[in-house]
Amino acid sequence: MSPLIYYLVAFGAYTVSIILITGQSFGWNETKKSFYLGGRRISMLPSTATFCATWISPLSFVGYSMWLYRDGYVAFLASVNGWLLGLLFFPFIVRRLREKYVLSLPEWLWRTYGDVRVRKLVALTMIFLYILYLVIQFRAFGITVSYMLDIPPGFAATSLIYLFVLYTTFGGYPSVVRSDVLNLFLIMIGVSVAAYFALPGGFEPKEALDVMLMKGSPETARKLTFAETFSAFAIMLSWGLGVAGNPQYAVRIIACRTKRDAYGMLSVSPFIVGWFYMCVTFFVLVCKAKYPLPGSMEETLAFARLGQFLPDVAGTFLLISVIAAAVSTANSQLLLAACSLCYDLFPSGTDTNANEGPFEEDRFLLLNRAAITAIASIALVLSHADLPDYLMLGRISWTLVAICFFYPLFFPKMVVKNMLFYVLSVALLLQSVLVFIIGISPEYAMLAVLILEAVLFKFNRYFMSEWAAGLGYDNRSERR
Amino acid sequence: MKLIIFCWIMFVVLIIAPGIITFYVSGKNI
Repeated sequence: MSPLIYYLVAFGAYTVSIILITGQSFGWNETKKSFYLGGRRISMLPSTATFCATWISPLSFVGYSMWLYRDGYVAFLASVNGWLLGLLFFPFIVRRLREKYVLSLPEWLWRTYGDVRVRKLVALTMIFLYILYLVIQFRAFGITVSYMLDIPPGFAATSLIYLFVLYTTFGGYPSVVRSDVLNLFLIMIGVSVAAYFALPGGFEPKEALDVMLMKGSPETARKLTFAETFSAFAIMLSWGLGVAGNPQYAVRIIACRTKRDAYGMLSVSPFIVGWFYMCVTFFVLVCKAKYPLPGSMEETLAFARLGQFLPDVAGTFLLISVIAAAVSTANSQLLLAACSLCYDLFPSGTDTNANEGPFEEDRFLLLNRAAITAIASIALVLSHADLPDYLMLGRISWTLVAICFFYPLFFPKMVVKNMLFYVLSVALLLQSVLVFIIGISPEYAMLAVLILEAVLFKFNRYFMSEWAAGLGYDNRSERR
Repeated sequence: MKLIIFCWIMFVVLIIAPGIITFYVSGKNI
């Protein structure tokens, strides 16, 4: 039977499943809290599913796979270990994030540091970086679907994700969580099946170990240069910090029913994500050893071609898992971007826990859905523009996240409240100049900018102390 | 080969560590 039949059936089944599962989440009595956070009533298992499904995006799936295929274990060190490094930070911020009863991370910054300008600045940055990140999801989805359904790549293929994402995001966070449970299930099935059927003669532990250790490959004998090692560690650090400060994970910590659920989610998630990376790494290393790809081609298309070497059913599951990864990450980011726009940037008199009439709530949520449509449309158009590859877009986004959230989230005692807005403005401006105008790698620029942020906070603290000492009074309470 | 072994050791540590940190931190906060 032609693989096209498998692909059509699988794609149809996925579409129907999403409609059936997500449709149940459209509630009549919606509030901002239920729309953005599911009323903070999400238990551990669905929270873990949405955490992991949001984690696994085409960047961490296709982008990482093709980097591994090209350069070997440097990709594993810089990206997989870098992303996992970010997980170490989360347990320290659970209490801090949840005690403010906020609906978004920009609001948390405002309530913690007392400057509404910080909220708006960070919200604006989030809209920008999530649009960039959405472009990755849209592009990967479009190319995979055009490959699967044998339709020309372009608006027709990409606009399908538009429908998926709008449908799953319109129901708010509960709808995103429901679709993420399905998406994570499909992703894990897809990569597990791909790993199991990757070896031409069937799975055999000794051969699998040889592949994982890249035995016989000339790359294993090659020593990394200092520049390569430094670059890999810089990317690892920047992606670790980017994950640690990323609002898409912080929101999931806030939305958990209890602190215990949040801690449970953070303990279980690394094992699920770890299994995913093991399967993907094994599958790609088998392909690298046994199935060379001819010439250079677009990364998602190249990944889809690798799926051709699997049996038809396994290859179908693998491609569906790419689609699931794109949808699961895109709907989370779209919801966050809309929240930043409607709730944080233009709050229009709304407040977290204010008791508003049903019409005000409905009008506000209608505006949110309009914002979701507008942001998705911009990402759809940009996904056909001549933007850099997945890894570069991810590097730009992740470094901006780290610059905005690293010190305020993890080192609150270092932050000088009344200087935070100026320090973040200078930091974001400098990062933009260094990356977009001078052309420095985003990781190197971010490291320099983070050092500058620390220096500015320290200097300010020092000069304020000197000034206060000169005036003869203790101003510690003002500075914090 | 050293790089590969380093990568996998670091990977295993990073998978297990959040649970251990969480256990330590949640003991104080729950």
